[in-house]
Amino acid sequence: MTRTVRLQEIASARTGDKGNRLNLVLVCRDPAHYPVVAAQVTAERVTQAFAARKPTRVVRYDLPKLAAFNFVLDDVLEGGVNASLGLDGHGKSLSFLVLDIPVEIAAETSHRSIRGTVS
Amino acid sequence: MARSFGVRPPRIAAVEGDDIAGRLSASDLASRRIDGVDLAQAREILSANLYLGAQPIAQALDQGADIVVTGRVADSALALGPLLHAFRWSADDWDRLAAGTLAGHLLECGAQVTGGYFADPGYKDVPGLAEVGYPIAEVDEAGEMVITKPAGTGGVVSRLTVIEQLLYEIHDPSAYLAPDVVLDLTNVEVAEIGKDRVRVSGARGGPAPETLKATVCVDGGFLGEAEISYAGPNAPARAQLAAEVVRARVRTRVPHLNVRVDAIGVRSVWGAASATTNLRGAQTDDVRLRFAAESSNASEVEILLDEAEALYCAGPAGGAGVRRRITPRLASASCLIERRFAEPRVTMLGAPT
Repeated sequence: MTRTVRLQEIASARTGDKGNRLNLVLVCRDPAHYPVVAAQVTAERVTQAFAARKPTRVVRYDLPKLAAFNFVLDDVLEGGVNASLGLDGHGKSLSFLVLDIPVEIAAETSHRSIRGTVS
Repeated sequence: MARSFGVRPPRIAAVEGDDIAGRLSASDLASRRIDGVDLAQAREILSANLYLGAQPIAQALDQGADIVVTGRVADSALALGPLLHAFRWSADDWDRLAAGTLAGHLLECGAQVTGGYFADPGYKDVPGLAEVGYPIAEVDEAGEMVITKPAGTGGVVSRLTVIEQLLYEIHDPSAYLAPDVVLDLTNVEVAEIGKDRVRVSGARGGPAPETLKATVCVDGGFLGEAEISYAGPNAPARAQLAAEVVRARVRTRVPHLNVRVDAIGVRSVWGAASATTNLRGAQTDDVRLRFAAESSNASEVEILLDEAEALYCAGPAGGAGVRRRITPRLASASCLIERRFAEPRVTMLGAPT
């Protein structure tokens, strides 16, 4: 049995910019979720989440020892911070585009295991 | 300032040699460009600065500097320099240089590793964010490190805060190019070993790149922005009409000007309200319209701002709170420059004691 949760429930994300290129760090709160996220949050899935920004290239780098992923998305920042007409030329808000992706996890996963502990 | 505290004046060193604007022509730079604005079209190079590494910082500290002021250096060099000075790591001790670079990378955005740019209430709670502590990296001679923060400060240092920053602004984690070393993060491990204490180990290094990155700036024209609010019943329809009025006016006066319209509260950060967007059905009673355009000619963006401000008297009912500004911009490119163009110089300033 599985159930659907938003990625925000099981993972943490942060974005950074270089020119018109965005990097997006995705970290599993519970390293046990690494295989689930690896299988479901593919470069193709992230490309779909960013469809409105028309990425020309999306690469996912896997970091199993950290239970983390680094996505690099080309040409998604409306030209980047020095050229964009928009409010977020750095792309700092864009981590939440990915945290909104639905994922299937085992139905019996406990709340504590999902959220983990931060401090 | 030192005198006012009754301490000896500090010895200050300056690190220069990052500025290559006078030494490479626009076409030299254009041929080395890897990213960003097309330099071949630029009328004038306004700045060109190499990212220097940690060696000149270490050299300044070796000469007795208390404070080192630099031109452009890699952010991580601010930590690697003092570590080279303290531990005398050799310039080809790649794994240790990698560890020092990683320490600098984790520190370079300040509170971003101690709970800043992180909190998401209910998902990632951070205590005391208003008094967030800035990070400390405790690095030993072998290159092992613990990331922590001062006692009594807010924020949090955890596995998640450290990993988010570890990969921040990184592209290929197996090859993060720094001036002094190529850092490989793929074997890094992160472990919480105490409250607000995270051990980071496993950084690996490879020989320094043969080229240095430079950031080159040229004139980027002018960004003009103006905002106006509509609130209360039927606010989205009045905002929609206001957007249509400004688009029509600008289309007449400056036909080639590309005007972006954001409807803040409805559609803005993740996409603009395009000419075909209809705000009328939006379920909100508070819309802030934002108009933006850019041009090499400031008077063209002034026309947009004037038209937005004119909504007060000549636009829909209840238009409120116009704010407008013009910002001159720089456009930038990244170039890869052969190391022979880097001539770092260390100058000791002030009276020695």
